[in-house]
Amino acid sequence: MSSRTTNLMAAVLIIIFGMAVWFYAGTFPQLGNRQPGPALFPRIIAAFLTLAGLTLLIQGWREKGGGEGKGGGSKPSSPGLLRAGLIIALASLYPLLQDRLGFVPTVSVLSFMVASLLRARLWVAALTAIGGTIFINLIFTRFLGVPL
Amino acid sequence: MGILTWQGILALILGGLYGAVFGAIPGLTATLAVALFIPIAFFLDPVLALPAIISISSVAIFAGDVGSVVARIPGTPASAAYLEELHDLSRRKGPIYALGISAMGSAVGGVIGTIILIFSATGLAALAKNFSSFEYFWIAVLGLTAGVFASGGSPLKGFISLLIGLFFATVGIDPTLGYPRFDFGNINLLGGLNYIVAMIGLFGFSEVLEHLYSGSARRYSTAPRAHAASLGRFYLRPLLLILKNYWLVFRSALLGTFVGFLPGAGADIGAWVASSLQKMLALRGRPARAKASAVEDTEIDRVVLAGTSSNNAAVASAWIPALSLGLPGDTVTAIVLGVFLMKGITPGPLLFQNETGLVWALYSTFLLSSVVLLPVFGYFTARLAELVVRVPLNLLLSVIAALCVVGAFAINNNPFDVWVMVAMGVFAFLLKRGGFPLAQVVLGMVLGPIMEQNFVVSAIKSRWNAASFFNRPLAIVLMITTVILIVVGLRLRIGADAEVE
Repeated sequence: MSSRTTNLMAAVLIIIFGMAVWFYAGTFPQLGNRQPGPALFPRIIAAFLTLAGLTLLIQGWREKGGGEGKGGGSKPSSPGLLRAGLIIALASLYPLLQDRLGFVPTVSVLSFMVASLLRARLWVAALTAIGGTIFINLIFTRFLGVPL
Repeated sequence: MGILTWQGILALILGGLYGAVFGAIPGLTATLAVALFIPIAFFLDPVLALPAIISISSVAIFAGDVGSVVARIPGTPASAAYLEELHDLSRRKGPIYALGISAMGSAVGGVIGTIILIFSATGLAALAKNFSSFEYFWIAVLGLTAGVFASGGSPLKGFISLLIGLFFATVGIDPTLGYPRFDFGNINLLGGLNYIVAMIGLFGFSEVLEHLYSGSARRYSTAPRAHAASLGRFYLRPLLLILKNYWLVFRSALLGTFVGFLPGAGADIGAWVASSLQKMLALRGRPARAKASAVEDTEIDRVVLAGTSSNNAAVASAWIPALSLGLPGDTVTAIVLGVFLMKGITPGPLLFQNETGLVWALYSTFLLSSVVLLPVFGYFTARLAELVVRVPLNLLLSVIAALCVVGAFAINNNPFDVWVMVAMGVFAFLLKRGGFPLAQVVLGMVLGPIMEQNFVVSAIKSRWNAASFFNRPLAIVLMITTVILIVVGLRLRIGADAEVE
């Protein structure tokens, strides 16, 4: 994706977000005598966001052709999205799984999945995941006294 | 009992070791380290307990840079100011050299901060008393402005990141009416978004996602492995750099000290302004569109040096209002005041007359921490960091992912924080792909509440009279400094773009 397209897309999203914040903040109560209350700061931020989004939109519009974005000009990678999505799902499930499976198995699975999705040998990934998790657990609970 | 006894030295060493471990682990902070130390401090003589706290916080704040080097996760909002440069420096020249600059810069900054503390604690405290909500508002604006120009790329994108951070800071109870904002009925959001959790997601988890997305698992460090020369690379080369740039170090440490003694986020603002100033000078003459590599190779060292010397100078100066006025400069000094009261010591101007032994023990500890502990523990943590960055990246990232989840959970033992961390990671992944800087989001989250609170207090005090923000001498000085920063920052960028065209 070119940087021009990225900037245009980002600008549109920022403008929509800014306007959403502006209107949502309008539902907040006011101080007495029509003085601004809790909505003041969010609305100032929303106004600046919308203006900055518009500026980015104009800049993106004027940009000729456009270089490559941070994504390196590559198309969105489906396997990459799948790998990232899997880890996002696993990390999000951590609070639920930890209650049922316990700390070490849950974090070991997450750690193992990251290493194996990044093409580490399975036995090395398993060893690192289990060893690393036990080490983290020991440091937090025994040495630092932070409960997990 | 004095600090120069075997018990005193042992307290300093153990405190430093404890601080090093806490600072280096993502999610664990100097504040948490000190908070967990309270039960032990209760049983110790104050001449041992307080120096131990100093050594914990000094070393933990330096060790926060280890996270930047190894996992691209800054330990404190202040170290987020030079995160990209420090990580880049470590990749190019190795972690020993990168952490050497950080430790030596911190040590020199710490010494300068301590000297100022010794000679002007009461004078500076009197100055701090002149700071009202108007001045605090302007100093937060100054810090935010510095953040915009500290971004290597487009100032517009830096500004947008900052606004997003400021928006995150508005989540939770508002300071005027106590009305819950953007909580969507979720009680976990009433207290706002924790910026440490956000930092873990923004920097650590997004890094894991970035590599999973690209499928790349190259090692972080491309620098040659250090053997016998590592002492030279940790001590000698950074010290030579400091000698060559003595004015830069002095200026940054002064900035850290003078902004750092202000209660609130003084240390963070100091580090941001110092490294931003250096980045602006480094980016002079370089077009905004050619910022992919951000700061020049030789300038990276100087940006890190500026940020790190300011960062640790502020550690000492945060104690100024605590000792002289009994006002906490930050969370660590708030805990220290608790220890004072627990031991029956009353902080304030009389402390310097009634407890001279304790005061000099504190001064000596600050100096010892800077001159001995930081260089020694710094070297060992740097050697350890060098080993860690040699680990294949796929394995290192698997441990970083685990640390992100555990670190986010451990802060409040709240599962909701894990979801916030994951959401921040995904958001940061998208921001990075759009070329938006991340550190500015953290800066907005840290300074947003300070700016809003002081703005609202000032506005209510002055009955919403806008002119009141511009008619106090100190406020005017801060406002003019902010305007100068904006004008100079824009001129440097626009001038550079025009040259290229």
